[in-house]
Amino acid sequence: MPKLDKISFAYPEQELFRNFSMDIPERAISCILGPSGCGKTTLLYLISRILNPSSGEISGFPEHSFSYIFQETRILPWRTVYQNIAFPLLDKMHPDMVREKTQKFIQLVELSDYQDQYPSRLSGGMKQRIAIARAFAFPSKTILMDEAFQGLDLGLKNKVFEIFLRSWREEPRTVIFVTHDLDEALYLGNYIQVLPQSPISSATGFELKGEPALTRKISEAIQTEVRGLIEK
Amino acid sequence: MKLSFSKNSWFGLAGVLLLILIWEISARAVGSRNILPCPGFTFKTLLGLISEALFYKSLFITLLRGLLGFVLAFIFSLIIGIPSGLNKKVESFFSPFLVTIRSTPVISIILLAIIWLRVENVPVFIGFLTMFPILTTSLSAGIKEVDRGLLEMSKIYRVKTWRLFSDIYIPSLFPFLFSGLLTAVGFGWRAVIIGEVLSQPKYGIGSMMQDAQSYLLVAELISWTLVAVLIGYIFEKSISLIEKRIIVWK
Repeated sequence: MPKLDKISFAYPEQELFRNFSMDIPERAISCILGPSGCGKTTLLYLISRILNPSSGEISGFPEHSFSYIFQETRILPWRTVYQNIAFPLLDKMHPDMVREKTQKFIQLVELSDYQDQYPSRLSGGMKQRIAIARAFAFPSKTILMDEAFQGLDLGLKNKVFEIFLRSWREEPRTVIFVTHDLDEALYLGNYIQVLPQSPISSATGFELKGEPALTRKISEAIQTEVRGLIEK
Repeated sequence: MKLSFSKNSWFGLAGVLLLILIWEISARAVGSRNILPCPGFTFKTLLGLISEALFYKSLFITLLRGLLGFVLAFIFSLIIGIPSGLNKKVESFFSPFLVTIRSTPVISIILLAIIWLRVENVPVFIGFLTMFPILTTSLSAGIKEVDRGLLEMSKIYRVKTWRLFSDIYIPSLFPFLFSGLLTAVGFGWRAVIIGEVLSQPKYGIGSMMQDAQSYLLVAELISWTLVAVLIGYIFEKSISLIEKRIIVWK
């Protein structure tokens, strides 16, 4: 099982993690909740090895095998929808395979009609769907998401959630989704980890049973408890 | 900067007609061909000029000088502008050169170039020195403006380094490159002609202008000016057109 084992990390101006350990369940959606500035994004950078912890170990994540869905969509304005999804695949697999993967996820995120359009002509929700398709089409074991649904209005958000879950069920991966929005976490997660203010040495974990989806009923008790932790 | 034949073009045409009208009235008021010839006579002189082989030779040579200056400026701006955009130290190293070139009066450069170089090459040199800093600055600005987020995304997805250039740096450079080209070519073209007027090579639009001026052939001088303006205009429109063809994603 992928895990963080007693990791420590600090920026010159702020200590973020001190002997922090956490298990990440495989092929499940783990939501990481925490106040802004507590080090959630840094946690993703540590997991994807953009940054290295000063001590401790991160294991169980196959190297070079991450997809990332950012808050800002980070799609190339000068490439079409199709080309954006194919972009990370091009130097990694046979052209036929690239076509197959790209087509599959373009359909799943419902952008087939727009595949030859440039992003400037699409809405924010559609751009985020390009980023989702790009993440799933890429042959990664882990998908890291950083406040990926921030800035979408509620109607759009539900649509994008639904599309995300559909893609995930099609090809389940280990998803680590960082957010400060409790509702997003309750909607999407199989697991929720609540981080305290930094320096962080432990997180409080919750398992959400049943279908990981918009439809699931979440017990009042969990909701109240998580809310209490966040507000602390 | 857009080329369109919409309603606005008619207003442009009206402006040109008004200009010609003012010219005609002024010419009549002055009443001397040797000071201000009327539009009709100037136009006849222009037709006379373009029926001579000398016209094409002068035009061709000036264009060639401009092109040569441009190609040199472009190559050097790539060599210096792109590394300057990527690295602050490189930028600091080259910045005194660029500042010096940009703030030296063109006339000083021309006077020195006449002493240092063969007269045929002076206009090329002047064109080069005019276009080079403009192109360099826009290229390095373009490189600096590259979206860090896109580079980081590519790194996470393990995209090969050469593809960062072809898929991220170069496309994001285009808008800067074209705005630089537009300015550089506009200034460069005029600078080449100034260089010719002052250095007096045997052929060239500037040389023809200088000749016309010394013999008080004002109609001829204005005709050459019109030719220079027309060519500058063609350059500008061609660059905008190519830009529209390349930057299709906006």
